[in-house]
Amino acid sequence: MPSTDKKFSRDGTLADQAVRQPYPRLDARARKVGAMGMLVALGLLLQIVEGSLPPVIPLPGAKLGLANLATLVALIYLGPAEAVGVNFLRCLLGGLLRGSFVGLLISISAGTAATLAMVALHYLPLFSLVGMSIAGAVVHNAVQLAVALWLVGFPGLRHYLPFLLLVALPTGTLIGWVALRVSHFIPAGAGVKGGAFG
Amino acid sequence: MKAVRKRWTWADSLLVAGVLALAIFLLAQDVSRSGGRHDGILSVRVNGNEVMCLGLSEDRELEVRGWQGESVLEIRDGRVRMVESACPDKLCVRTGWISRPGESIVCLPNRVVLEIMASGGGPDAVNR
Repeated sequence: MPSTDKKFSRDGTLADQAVRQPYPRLDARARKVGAMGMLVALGLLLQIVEGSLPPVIPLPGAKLGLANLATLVALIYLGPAEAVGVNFLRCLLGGLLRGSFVGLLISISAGTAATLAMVALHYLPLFSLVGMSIAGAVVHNAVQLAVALWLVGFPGLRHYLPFLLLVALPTGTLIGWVALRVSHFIPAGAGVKGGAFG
Repeated sequence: MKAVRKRWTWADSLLVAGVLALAIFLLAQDVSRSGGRHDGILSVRVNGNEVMCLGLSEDRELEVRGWQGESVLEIRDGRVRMVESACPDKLCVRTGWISRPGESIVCLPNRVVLEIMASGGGPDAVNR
């Protein structure tokens, strides 16, 4: 039997090498940096788009979290460190764009905590992608409120926590579902190790 | 590369149930604690000068020396009322119980004013 021009990639998935590796000479690190930069830009774009939409629920701090899509994709296709990096850079740039220092502080701390929560759930082989997203949303909202509480120093703010927790359930589910749909369009082994996405 | 679960799992359900339960527990706690009670501070003024400033959590009865004589006030269950007053019209006694911040009992003849002030203070919303 003559072998075809198709090869098995390192992940064991059958894939056309020409499609999987458009720039074969690019080393893995360059690919990773490129993918991370793209995801940061994508997250920033989503954040701006979300900010220009009218708020769905009129609670301050309760947002859709569209930008978390970029973090989720970075986590499942690149890895935990890359996800934390993408999220940190996105929060930093987004905060600078908005020009609010308090917002920046809240965004970075809540975003990092949420990413770490999602990383933990990713490596605990019990939760689905939607579950990871929900956990991220819940942790994000809780930490956001905690930091706001610490910065403002008004203890009455804690009565706001149950509402933020409840809001995180639908928004986390929605973002997780979208991430799931997105993941159908990215080939299974498209990680750092020489995929079209890497 | 670690595979991602795409199907909803029991752990997801557990997570959602846990968050729901926590939110409902916190809400219930808030509702039960604020039922009828408002954490205000009672300010007692005689002739415009604040003579006393106290919390409403402790039940007690106090006497205040007013312009014409003693005024007796009672604090119970986070509320305040004037029990007795050395004034001719007793409007202050008829005002009854007050508990919310902003409410007041005024005895003009005896020049005694009881007012509940909001405790805490500070902003009530955070600028995003």
